[in-house]
Amino acid sequence: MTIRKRLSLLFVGLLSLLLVGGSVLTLTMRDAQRRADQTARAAHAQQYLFDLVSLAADVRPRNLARCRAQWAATRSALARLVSQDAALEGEERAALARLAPKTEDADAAFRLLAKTLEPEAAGGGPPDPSSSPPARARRDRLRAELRAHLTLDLRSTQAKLRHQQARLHEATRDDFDRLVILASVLLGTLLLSFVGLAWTTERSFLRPLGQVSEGMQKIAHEELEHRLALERSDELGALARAFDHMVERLEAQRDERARAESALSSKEEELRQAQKLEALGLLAGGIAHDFNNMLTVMKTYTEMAQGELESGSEAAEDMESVLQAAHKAQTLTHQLLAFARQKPGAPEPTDAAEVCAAMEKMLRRLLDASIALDLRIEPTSSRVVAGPGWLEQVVMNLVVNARDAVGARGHIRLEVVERELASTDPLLGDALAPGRCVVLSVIDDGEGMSEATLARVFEPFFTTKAPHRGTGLGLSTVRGIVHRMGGRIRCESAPGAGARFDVVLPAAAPEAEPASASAGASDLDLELSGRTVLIADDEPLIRAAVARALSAEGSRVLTADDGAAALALIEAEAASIDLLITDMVMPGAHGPEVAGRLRARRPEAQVLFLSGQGLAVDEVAPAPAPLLVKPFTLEDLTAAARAALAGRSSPASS
Amino acid sequence: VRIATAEQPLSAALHVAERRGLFADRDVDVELLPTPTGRAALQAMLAGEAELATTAETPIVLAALDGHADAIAVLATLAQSTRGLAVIARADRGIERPPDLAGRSIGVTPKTNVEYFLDLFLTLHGLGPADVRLVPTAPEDLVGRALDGSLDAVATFEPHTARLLEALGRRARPFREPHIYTWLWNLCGRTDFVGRSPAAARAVLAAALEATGLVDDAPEAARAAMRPILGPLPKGSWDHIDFTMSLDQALVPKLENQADWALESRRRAAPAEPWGVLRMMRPGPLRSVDPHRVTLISGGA
Repeated sequence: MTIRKRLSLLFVGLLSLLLVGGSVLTLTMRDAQRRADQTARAAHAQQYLFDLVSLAADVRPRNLARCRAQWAATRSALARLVSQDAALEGEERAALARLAPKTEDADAAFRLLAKTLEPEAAGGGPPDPSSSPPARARRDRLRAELRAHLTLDLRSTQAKLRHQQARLHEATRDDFDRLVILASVLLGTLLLSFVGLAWTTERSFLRPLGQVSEGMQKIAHEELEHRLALERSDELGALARAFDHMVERLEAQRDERARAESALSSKEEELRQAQKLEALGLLAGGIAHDFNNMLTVMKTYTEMAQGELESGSEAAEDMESVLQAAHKAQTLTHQLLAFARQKPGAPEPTDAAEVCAAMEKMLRRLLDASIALDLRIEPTSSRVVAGPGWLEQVVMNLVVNARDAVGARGHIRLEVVERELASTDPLLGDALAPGRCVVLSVIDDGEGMSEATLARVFEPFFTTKAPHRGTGLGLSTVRGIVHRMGGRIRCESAPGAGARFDVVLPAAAPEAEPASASAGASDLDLELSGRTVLIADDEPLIRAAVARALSAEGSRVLTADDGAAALALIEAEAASIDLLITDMVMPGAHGPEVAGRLRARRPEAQVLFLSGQGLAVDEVAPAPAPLLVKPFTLEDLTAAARAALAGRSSPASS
Repeated sequence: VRIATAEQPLSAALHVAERRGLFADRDVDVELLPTPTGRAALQAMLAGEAELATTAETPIVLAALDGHADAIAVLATLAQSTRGLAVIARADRGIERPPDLAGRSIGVTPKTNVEYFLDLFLTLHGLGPADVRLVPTAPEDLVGRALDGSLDAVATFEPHTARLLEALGRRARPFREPHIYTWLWNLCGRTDFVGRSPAAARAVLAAALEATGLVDDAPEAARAAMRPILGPLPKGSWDHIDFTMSLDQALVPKLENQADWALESRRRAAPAEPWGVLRMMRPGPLRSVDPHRVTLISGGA
């Protein structure tokens, strides 16, 4: 029932009650008033009757006229009084009717009495002297009887009136009792109605309004799980249902927003991670570039010194040690460059199984004899896209990581399988599309990792190894390489349960096998002597080492310590320059610009780019040209220079 | 308590009280002793056959003059009637108006209030006892003698009045004169009984008072209650009765008047002892039941 209907019923009920109660009360009060008037009239009539009795006793011949007049007046007044009760009904009217004959009888008796008194009254003197004493006695007796009759009539009337008065009194008392009961009932009903009204107000309005208010406050404090849940069919119920619906929508929006914020936070974290990696990459790239230059100088001069020493001499073996150290340092710079995504060499379809199988010997050398290495490599029909050394670096880092985890004794397994991954496969994660993949896994039974460690395992510079035992870059480098290969890496581990790293690499699209880079060995024999070579590099040690090496081959060497100097030499010596060996990045002008100028002046001249950044030549050069990546050996340099002169890339360059 | 009561409509209150158990309600054992007249009832009481009696005022006066004044205690008037007495003349004898009764024979029962009424009647119409021929007649003989013509008129009371009117039919000429005499129907007690058992007297009066109220309020029911005792009554034979219980001052002059009349008419000799009506009045019991009912200015306890 709606609140409007409930209120209407309540008010109609209350109004009806007041109308009925008020009407009954008014009627009862009117009855009581009528009885009170009647009682007053009865008392008045009693007085008149008393006066008439007195008159009857007092009437004498000498006062006959006065008594007659008084009698008539009193009787008339009594009659008027009684006539006012003519509107009475039922028993009261019957009682009144019984009074009338008596008073009429009394009237007749009075007239008769007066008549017997008339002769003496008319004579104005004593009784008729002619009448005998017995006759007078009889007359006196007659008058006495008439008076007695009159008196008895009036007294009887009085008694009957008194009886009626008693009834009136009783009825008035009943009226009063009824009034009291009625007023009490009315008052009680009104009180009950007001209590009912208060109860209804509390139950129908205040309590649900309080619930609505409380609910709104909770919603204001973001307790969106709160519901009013008012099981009512009235307006407040409709309001509560609408409110609950609104809160449900708010809650859904809040959850949606929370998910979006979580995703945004995750992306921001990834962005921060990427920015961090980028900064590290830039730093690493810069270091690697300079380091490569130094290594190039060191390797070049060492090889030149080694060439001048007697083979097998102690000094020559020392030089060899220097060269090996330089080679290890070169591996480190490659690792840094790979981390910085600056690993030289273009990615190409690679047979991961073959690469891993080829690494077996090297891997076993890395491990102590107490650590078992188990290779489960299945031949794969698909290839993966990988740059040179990428896969080796990935496998190497993962195996070294496993070695450190198993400690003195343990078991490491390297698996390579090809699989068709469905969209629901957990290996795919969010990043990869379903399809054919090559999965490379390294599993160890080492100490495993805690959840906290697992969460940070790919973070740069994060390591649990002892100081000087790791850089903390291994696994982050792996992840960087895997991402560059378009794949993903995941790790599963628990404390005491070992660890499993899965590298998922999408299969490369089938393509033609790369053309063989092999060239006729005769090309490599192209003479460098007699050739004019312009060497442009802003690093004086490189410039000097290269110049010395080529000079040793018999070449005429021109050197420029930056791009501007190179351009000036080209302007001056363009006609004689056969080969330009230039750094990619230099002050004044970059290598490609210098090369462009030379080709413009002497199109048959050849160019060999040097780079410590691993940039592809076609990314920066207007025309394709071979690139020799720093650091290089003397042999690499001379081979690359010969190849460049022959108009092709050497195996050491790309 | 034995109450000798004439079989009269005026006695209805006592019969109704008995039938309704109003005496028993007040723990008083009442036996009603029926008598043909009030005079007989009073005589029965004085003879010790009853403790209470109902009677008109005339037998009381005559009994008092006979020396029983001290034995009679007038307790209350149970009812009064203004029309119960009448003179019924033979119209076929040429009697059309009261004065026509002069020289005629009028039958009347001696020593009753009817004889007193007749005296007042004649006085009102200017006649004296010597102007008519009064013929003493027993009540049961009145109707017959009026019918057989041995009387020119009769003075009598209900229910004989109604019966005579019915028998004579159009030959009857009733003269009622209701205002000259009020017939009071009184409850008297033996003085010794009233003095000895005032509570019983009060109980009887209280029951009778309640009964008079019932009779007054519902006359038809009272008439039905009296029918087994009185037989079927002529229509209107109750209309003249006023069942108002009282002990009124008016009773005193009436008794005195009748005593004077009895002495004057030589129906009784003057008593040797000084005689007073008030000595017989006993307003105490009724006053204790309902003081408003007593309007006696002075009198005994």
